[in-house]
Amino acid sequence: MEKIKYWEGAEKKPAYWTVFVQRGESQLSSLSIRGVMLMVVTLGLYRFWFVSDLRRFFWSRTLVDDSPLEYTGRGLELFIGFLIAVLILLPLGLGLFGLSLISPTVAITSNIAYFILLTFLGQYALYRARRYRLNRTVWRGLRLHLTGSAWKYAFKAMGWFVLSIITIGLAWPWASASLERHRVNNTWYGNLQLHSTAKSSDIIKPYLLIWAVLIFPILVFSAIGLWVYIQGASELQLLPSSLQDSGMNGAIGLYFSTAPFIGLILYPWYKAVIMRTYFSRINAKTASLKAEFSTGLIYKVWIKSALVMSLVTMLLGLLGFMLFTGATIILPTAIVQDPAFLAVVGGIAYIVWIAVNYVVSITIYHFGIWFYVGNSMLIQNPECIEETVAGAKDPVSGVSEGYADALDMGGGFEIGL
Amino acid sequence: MSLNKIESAYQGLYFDGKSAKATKVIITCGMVLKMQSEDGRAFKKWQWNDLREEDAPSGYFRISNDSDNPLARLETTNRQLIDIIRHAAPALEKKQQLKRSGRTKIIALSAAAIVSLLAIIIYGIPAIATRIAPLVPLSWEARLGELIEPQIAEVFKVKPLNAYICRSPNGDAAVAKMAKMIRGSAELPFEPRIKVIRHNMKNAFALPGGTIYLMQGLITAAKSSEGVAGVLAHEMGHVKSRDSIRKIAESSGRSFILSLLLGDVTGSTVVIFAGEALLGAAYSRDIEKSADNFAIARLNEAKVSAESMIELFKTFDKNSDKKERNLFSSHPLTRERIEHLRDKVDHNQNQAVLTKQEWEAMRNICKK
Repeated sequence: MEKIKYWEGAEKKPAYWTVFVQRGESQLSSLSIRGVMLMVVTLGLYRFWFVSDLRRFFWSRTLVDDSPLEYTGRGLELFIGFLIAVLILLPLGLGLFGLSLISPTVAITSNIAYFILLTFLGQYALYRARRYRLNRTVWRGLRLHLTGSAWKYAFKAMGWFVLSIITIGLAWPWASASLERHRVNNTWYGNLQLHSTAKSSDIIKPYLLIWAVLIFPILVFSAIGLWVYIQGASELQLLPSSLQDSGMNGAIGLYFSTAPFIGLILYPWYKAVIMRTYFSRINAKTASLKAEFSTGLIYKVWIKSALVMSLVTMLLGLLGFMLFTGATIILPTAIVQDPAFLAVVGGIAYIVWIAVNYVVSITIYHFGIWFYVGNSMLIQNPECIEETVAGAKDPVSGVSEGYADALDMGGGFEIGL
Repeated sequence: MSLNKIESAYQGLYFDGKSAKATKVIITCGMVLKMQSEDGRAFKKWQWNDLREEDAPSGYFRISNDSDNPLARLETTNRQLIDIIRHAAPALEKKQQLKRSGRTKIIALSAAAIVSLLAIIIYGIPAIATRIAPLVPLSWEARLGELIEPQIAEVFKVKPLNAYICRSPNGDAAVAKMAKMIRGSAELPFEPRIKVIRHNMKNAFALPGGTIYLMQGLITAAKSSEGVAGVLAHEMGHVKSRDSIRKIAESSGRSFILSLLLGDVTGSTVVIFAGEALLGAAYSRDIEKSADNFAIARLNEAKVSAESMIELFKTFDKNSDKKERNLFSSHPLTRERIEHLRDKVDHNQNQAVLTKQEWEAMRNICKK
C-alpha cells in the first residue's frame, strides 16, 4: 500500500516508472477453488466466466506507475464468441471427416492435412485471442490493441515451423524472435506503437544447451544406426556388431533415462531468459521496458509448484486409498469388483486430482511468475507515454478468443497477455 | 454520516478515456460529486446515480460514470472519500454485479445447456445418424469396410487375415446355401460376403460394405445349423440398415459434441471416453433390437424355427454374465432381449436349414 503515493507529495517524479504487483494469494485461491468447483458442476462451461474473473484479478492487482491495469472482458462475451467460432469451424471438421471416408489413402493424407491445418488455424486463433485480451486491457483510461492480419501471422509462423523442422530445430531461435517482433510491433497502447528488438542471440545460449541435451543425441544415434545399417548391409562380417549394439543400447538407455530430467531442469532457465530478454527488448518512442528479475525466482516458482503438487497428489492418493479401503469393507464384493465401479471411482479421483492441480497451477505457478516478473519491471524515460491519446480502433468481439478455445489451443486458459 | 456535514476536499486522479494524461483533481461531495483541477477550475460534475465501481486492488478505489466516456475513470486511495462514495452512490455495485454475472444464473444456464446437449446426444444424434446413413454413397461404405478390415485383424490378433479365413469346398457350399436360404427375398444394399474366421470367440459381426464375420467359436457352440442361420440373419439385419455407418456417424457426432462442451478443459478426454461408452451402449441396444426383428422376419419367411437362435443367444448370456457384462457392454444380451424375441417366435416353423452332411461340412470348415 505504501507504493500508492502518487497523490501525496512526491512532486519530483523519477526518470522511470515502476510496475507493482500486489500480493493476494488467499483471495486468489478462494477465487480459483470456487471457479474450479463450478467448472466441474457445469462440465467445463463455467470456464469462460472463470478465466474472466482470473484476468480481472491479475490485471487489477498490477499497478503501472501507481495506476492499476483493468480487464474489461466479460465471460458471456467469451461464451458467445466460442459458440460462433464453433459454428464456423463445424463445416470444416465435417468436410474433413467426409473426405477421410472416401478412401484409405485420402484418410491418411487427410489426417496429415488436418494436423497441418490445425497447427495453422491454431496460430491464427492464438493471434486473434491475443487481440481480444489486449483490447480488453485498459490502463489510465486507454485500451491496448493489436493490429495486423492474423492470417499473415499464421503464414509466417507456419513458414518458421517448416524451416525449424528442416533444420532439426536449429532455426527455432530465429523463428521465436521473429514472431515475437511481429507480435510486439503490432501492439499499440492508444496511438503509441510498441516496438521490439528481440534477437535470436537473446535466447540462443539456453536454447542450444537444451537442443544439445535433447535433440543432438537423437541425431547421433540415427547417424550411427544408419552407418551400421549401411555397413551391415554391404559387408556383414566386417563389424563386431554385437559390441556396437551393446554400446549403442547403453547410450540410448542413458539418454532416455536422463535427458527428460535434464530438459526439465533447464527449461525454467530458458523460460526465464525468454521472458527477461523479450520484455526488455520492448520500447515505444523514447520509453523502454526493463524486466531484470533473476532466474532464481523463476526456479523458486517452479520448485514450489512442483513440491505443492506432489504433496497434494500424495495426500489425495492417501485419502483415496483410505476411502477405497473403507468402501471395500462396507460394500458387497460384487460391487467392488465390478469394473464399472472401479471406472467410476477412478474417474472421480481423476477429476478431483485435475481440479486440485488447476488451483495449484493458478495460485502458485501463474500468479508466482506474474508476481516476480511484474514486480521487476521498470519503464525508463516514460514521459512520452503521457502524451498518448486513444487509438481509433473499435472494440474487438469475443469471437477472436472463441477460435482458440474451439480449437483447444489452450488460449482459453491464457491468463497473461 | 450525512452528506451536508462534509465539507472536506479530497484528492484523486481523473482519466478522461481519451488520453493517458492523469489529471489531479480536488473532489468535493455535495448534491453531485464535483471535481476541480488543482488551480481551482471546476472540472467535472458526476451524478451520484451514474457512478459505478470498477476493479481495483485492495486499498484502492476506481469508479466510472455511466454518462461519461465509458473508459473515463476516477481513482483514489483516500479512505474517507471511498466511504462517502460508497454511502452516496446508490448504483455503485451495478457493474460489478453484472460482471459477476450471477453465478446461479450461469449454473442454471449450464444445466439447461447440458440437459439439451444430452437430449441431442441421446435422441437427436441417433435420429440424424439414421437419416444420414442411407445418404452415404454405397462406394464410401465399401471403402470404409476395406479400411476397417486390417484393423479388425489387428484387434482379434488374426494376422495375416487370409491365413485365418477358413475355407473348404463343402463348407463354403454349406455357408452359401445357408446365406441364400436365410436371405430369401430381402433386399440388401450389399451382396453379403460371409467369412468364417478361425477364432474361439462366440460371436459374429457385420462390417461396413456387407462383409459378415462368423467366428469359429460360434459355429462350434451352436447345436444346429438353425441357430447359426439366426445369427447370420441378425447380422444381415445390420447390413440392411447400414448400422456400421449409423454407428460411426453417431459416435463421431457424440464425441464431437462432448469435446466441444468440454473444450479446453484438461482431463476432458477421460470424461469424453466415459460418456461415449455409456451413451453408446444405450444406443446399440436399439440397433440390436431392430436387427433381431429383421432376423425373426427372415427366419419366419424361410419357415425356420427361431428357438435355436434364442438357445444360442442364451449361451452367450451365460458366459457374458461372469465377466463381460458391465456398464460399458455394447452387446447386452439381456433377458429383456431374449423375451422380446420369444414373443415374436412362430412355433409352427420347423424347416431345416442344412442337411446333416452340410452342417458337418460347415462345422469342419476350419479343419485342415
